[in-house]
Amino acid sequence: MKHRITLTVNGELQDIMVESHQSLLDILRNEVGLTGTKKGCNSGDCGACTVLLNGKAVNSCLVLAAELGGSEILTIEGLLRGRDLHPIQKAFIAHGAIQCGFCSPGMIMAAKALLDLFPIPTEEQAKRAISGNLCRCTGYTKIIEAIMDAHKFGKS
Amino acid sequence: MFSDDVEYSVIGKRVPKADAIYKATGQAKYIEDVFLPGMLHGKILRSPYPHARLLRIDFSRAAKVPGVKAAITSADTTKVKYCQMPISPNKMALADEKVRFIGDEIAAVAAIDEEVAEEAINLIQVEYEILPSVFDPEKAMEADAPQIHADSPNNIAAHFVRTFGDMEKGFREADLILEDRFTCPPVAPCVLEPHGCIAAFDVAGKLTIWTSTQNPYNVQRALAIILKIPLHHVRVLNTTVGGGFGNKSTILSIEPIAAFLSQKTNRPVKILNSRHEEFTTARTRYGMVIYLKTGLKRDGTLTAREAKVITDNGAYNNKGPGITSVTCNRIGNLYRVPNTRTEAFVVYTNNQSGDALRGWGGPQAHFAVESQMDRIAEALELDPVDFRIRNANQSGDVTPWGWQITSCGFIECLQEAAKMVDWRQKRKNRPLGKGIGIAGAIHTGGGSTGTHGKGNYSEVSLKINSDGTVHLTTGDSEIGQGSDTVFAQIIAEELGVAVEDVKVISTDTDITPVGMGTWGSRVTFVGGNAAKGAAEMAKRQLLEMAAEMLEADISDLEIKNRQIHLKGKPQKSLTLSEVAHTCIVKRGKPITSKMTYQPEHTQAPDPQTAYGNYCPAYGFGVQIAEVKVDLETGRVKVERIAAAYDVGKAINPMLIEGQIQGGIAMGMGYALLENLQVEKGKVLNPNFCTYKIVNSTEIPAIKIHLVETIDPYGPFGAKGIGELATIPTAPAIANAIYHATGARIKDLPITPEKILEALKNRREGKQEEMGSRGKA
Amino acid sequence: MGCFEYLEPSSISEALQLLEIYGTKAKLLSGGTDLLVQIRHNDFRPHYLIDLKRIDEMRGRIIDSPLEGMKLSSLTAIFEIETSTEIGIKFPILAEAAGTIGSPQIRNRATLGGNLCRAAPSGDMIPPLLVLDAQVVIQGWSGERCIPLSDFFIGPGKTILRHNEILREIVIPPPPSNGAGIFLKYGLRQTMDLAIAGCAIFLVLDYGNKFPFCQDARIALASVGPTPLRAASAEKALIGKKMSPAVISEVAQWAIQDSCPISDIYGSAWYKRKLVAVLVQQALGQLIKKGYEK
Repeated sequence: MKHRITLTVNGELQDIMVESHQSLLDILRNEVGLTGTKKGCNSGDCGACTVLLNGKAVNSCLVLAAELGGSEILTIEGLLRGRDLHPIQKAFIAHGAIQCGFCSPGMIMAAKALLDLFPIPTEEQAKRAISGNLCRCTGYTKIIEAIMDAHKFGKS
Repeated sequence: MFSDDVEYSVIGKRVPKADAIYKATGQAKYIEDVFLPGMLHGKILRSPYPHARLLRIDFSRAAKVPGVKAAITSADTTKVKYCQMPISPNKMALADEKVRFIGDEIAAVAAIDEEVAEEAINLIQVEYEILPSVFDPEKAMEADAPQIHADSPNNIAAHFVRTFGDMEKGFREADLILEDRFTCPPVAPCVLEPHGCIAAFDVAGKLTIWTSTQNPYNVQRALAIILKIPLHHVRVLNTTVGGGFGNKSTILSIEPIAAFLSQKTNRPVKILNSRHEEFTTARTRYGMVIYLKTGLKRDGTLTAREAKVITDNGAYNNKGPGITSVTCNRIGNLYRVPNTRTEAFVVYTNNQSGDALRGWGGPQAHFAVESQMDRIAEALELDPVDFRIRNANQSGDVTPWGWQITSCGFIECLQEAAKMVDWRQKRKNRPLGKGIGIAGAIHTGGGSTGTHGKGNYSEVSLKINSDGTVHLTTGDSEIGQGSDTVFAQIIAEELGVAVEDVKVISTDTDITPVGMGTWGSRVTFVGGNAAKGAAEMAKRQLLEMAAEMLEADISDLEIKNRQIHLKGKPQKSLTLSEVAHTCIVKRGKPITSKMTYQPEHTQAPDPQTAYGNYCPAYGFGVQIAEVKVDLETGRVKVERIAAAYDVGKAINPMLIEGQIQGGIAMGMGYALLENLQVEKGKVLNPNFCTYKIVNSTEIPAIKIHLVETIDPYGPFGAKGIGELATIPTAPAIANAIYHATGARIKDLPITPEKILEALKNRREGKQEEMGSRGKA
Repeated sequence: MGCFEYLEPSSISEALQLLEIYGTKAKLLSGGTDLLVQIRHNDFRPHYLIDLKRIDEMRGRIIDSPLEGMKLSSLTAIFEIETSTEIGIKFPILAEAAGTIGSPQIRNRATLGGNLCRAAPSGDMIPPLLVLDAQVVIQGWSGERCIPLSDFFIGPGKTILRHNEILREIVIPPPPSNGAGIFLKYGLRQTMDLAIAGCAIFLVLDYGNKFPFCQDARIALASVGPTPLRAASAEKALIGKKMSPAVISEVAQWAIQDSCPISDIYGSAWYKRKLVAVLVQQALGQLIKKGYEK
């Protein structure tokens, strides 16, 4: 059985039909056409699929699409304003916090959830906010620096 | 002490990565993000048994599933056995008569979506005759062990002995001899992006394949061989690579399987590995057992070193012999040892195969050598830093193995690292449970010749546009390490343009020059030299044109800040864009150049003895780890790491720091957490929940010092660093744990439980299984 | 992932009706952070997933009343427990345990009821609730029943919940005014890890003498048995005693007796028993210290 759901993705209303078993990750990538959110493990262990659901960071692979009627989703694509990068994105680039980049969208969204609450976070807060986002390239140091420094790159 | 005294405009600057903007915004396209019209999805039926004969495969139920377009077994393929390395290939895309590990490919299905393909796979019925299996490489060599390949008695895939010097004399001269047994487990690459590909045959029989690879030309050659089609019928398009570390330097079975499915269906076929498949079939760093014996004089001079290395080759040949060979030569080459002998056994088991993974045998070798170096220092009551300095390689050395050490900052790295942490003070005054340990490392700073001596070249072609901007195409892959940015910096420096004026294209075998791809920390050195050479050639053409326009002598011209001007007379100048436009548009002379770089000063290793200088440069690095060990639980907290690296010349310090920090995190995992636990061939921890890699809250404070030795052959003096970044971490931590607790763990990973066991054994006065013995 | 049907009842009675109809073919869904992974790994192949999150009567409200202690809806998200001021003040042990679960992403979705019904031997919320003497309210077709949490678990992944019942809420009695609790969890990583061993202790102490006198003690352990468990003999060894170092180490030994760990990929039984003793001693030590600091 298909479910018809209406939800907001990056400020745009989406009216879509979804299968019971489809995850938010699957519909973002396959139905809505937003492939910036990555599928790293499909079991909530790596954080590459992190998006904001009603302002909170979630693993989109562990959220069923069918239950999302009326929800607001923000993905990595939603951070751009025209061609203007979000301060967190600018900070990640300037700090060299990106190598292969596969973890970056999820990392940036997890950071966004933190910075929405604590614009100038401590190192401990930054580390804990991305503790569920695995990265094999950077060793996290530059990511943590970028998150702590993001406030210097403009207003979120 | 070292200095190049040159003012550069972009070399040495912290230039952000060119691709970072795409990756930060989610616009970079990885293989999972590529969708083609009419595309099918492939899934693979994998063996549930570690060793079995295939008696019958029945597709009848699977084929009836609506949406299934093709199902294949080895009978539908060419049955070509392939291996990237020049050793006997024995892996087919789909198993023919036997399966040899849990996860071995048996059959594949292409269907309209992943779920239908999955459903069909579950309906394929296979009859097996289960065979006895073996998982421990030392047991696999025993006479009564099950035979995995008919042509390899005792399951030995390769056996070689390398002797340099006189072992008998070396050990005779020794005052003290130490012996240890070290073990390194198989560890999973854990690239964040799982492997994947899309194969699309067209009506004329030409194949286009999109894949996440470090080496598009390897993929091209492999598929041409396996599919028995000419090379110009295989086009490889590299998608953004979401992590490689060597693990994406050759094909898995998914590429040929997707191609066979596409051939059969005339449609594009996509195969993406699940995370479970990544852990169980996408190959590991080779597990090894290393027996190490060293003889030395009372004053700390090494007289002889002997090693026996046993490598778990897994079920099929891949890079086992090559990587084991590197393990052997690291054992002989990090320090000055006049007499060395290494014997290696590369042994088949019913485990998944191994592969390259950041260090090509180096991490295993260094764990053994650097752990034992600390044991020796202790036995001789020498400071570990002093002892290492005493035996360290130096610039100008030719090792007994024939390596010509050109630039070498090993001693400086040891000294600088010690200085950064106040080594002597901390070494002396440590409360129980806290410790500090050091380890050094040597690794190629620019690839290796390969067995035939000419396997380490890069080619680029460069084009100046009529507005003075630049295109560079290369056969070396950007895999996140930043090679595209480093190339752009090198070209910008040579041509006096801005980094953003240079576009680097490294993605398409139909367009980009032939290259060896990204492995062996080679791209900055070899690819960088090619880029530099091509830029010099283009610069010459620009200067010739400018000389004509300015009516000046070419030798009086300088190129800088997008301008060409007379030396000392900046007012007499032309913009690069004017010059390029005049040359290309008005004169009809395109400005292009092509450069192939192959190091001239390297030779193939001797086929019998392996003697030879096969790396164009050697990088050196030192790490010092400070740890705190909870003596009640055994848990280790790495508090600080100081890293000093001889990088030749830091073209982009920010990227180098990123390599070192990432290498440390991976090395911490190798030291403390990572172990693909396998029971009877079955991986017990095939996910990130149970296979733990280091996450953000484990990261210690890291201090980095770069030593610039300006390598005589490196571009601007640079050497590669990618692999070296991770190699010293595990032994540095092991040595720090010993310093903190007195527990010497020779078996990675160093789990809290092993530490507690070792402490218990010490308390109970149990002897170590192998120890030191003094000589009269 | 298996082909299940997603169902979204809007009342408890509707949910119970669905359970009645579909029986063992149905599974209840709350946060889904474990269940969806289990379904993908083929541990379960339910035909129906009944989502409780649209049921207003079950929404994640925290009900606090000074006399009755606290009632938590089983749908209370872990992050709410972690960050709620009321819980932080009244039952800090619960907030501590909640903060150790998974990642922020997981804590935002996972629920208290889900953690209990998953019935993992390592379930982080279970030991603190056990030492708080929590009860669970189970709603069935014919009414509700209230049972002690300690009777809820019967094995790894198994509870007494019948297929047609819903875990509706968790009731925590008011804590003794002079009591204090602590939760310690030992994993290989500082975050994002399952407990190799976990320990929650709640004590009522009288700080008169050189060593505090233990009026009441409740000790629960995780990951060292088929279910999280109360360490009864350790408790007995502590109640009515002065908490001298000798007593503490004796209690730790009794806790080892109470545990029955198995060897698995996380560690050997030998090692886990060691951890039990260490955690119990550390927890008792820290509780005493906390008490003196007050």
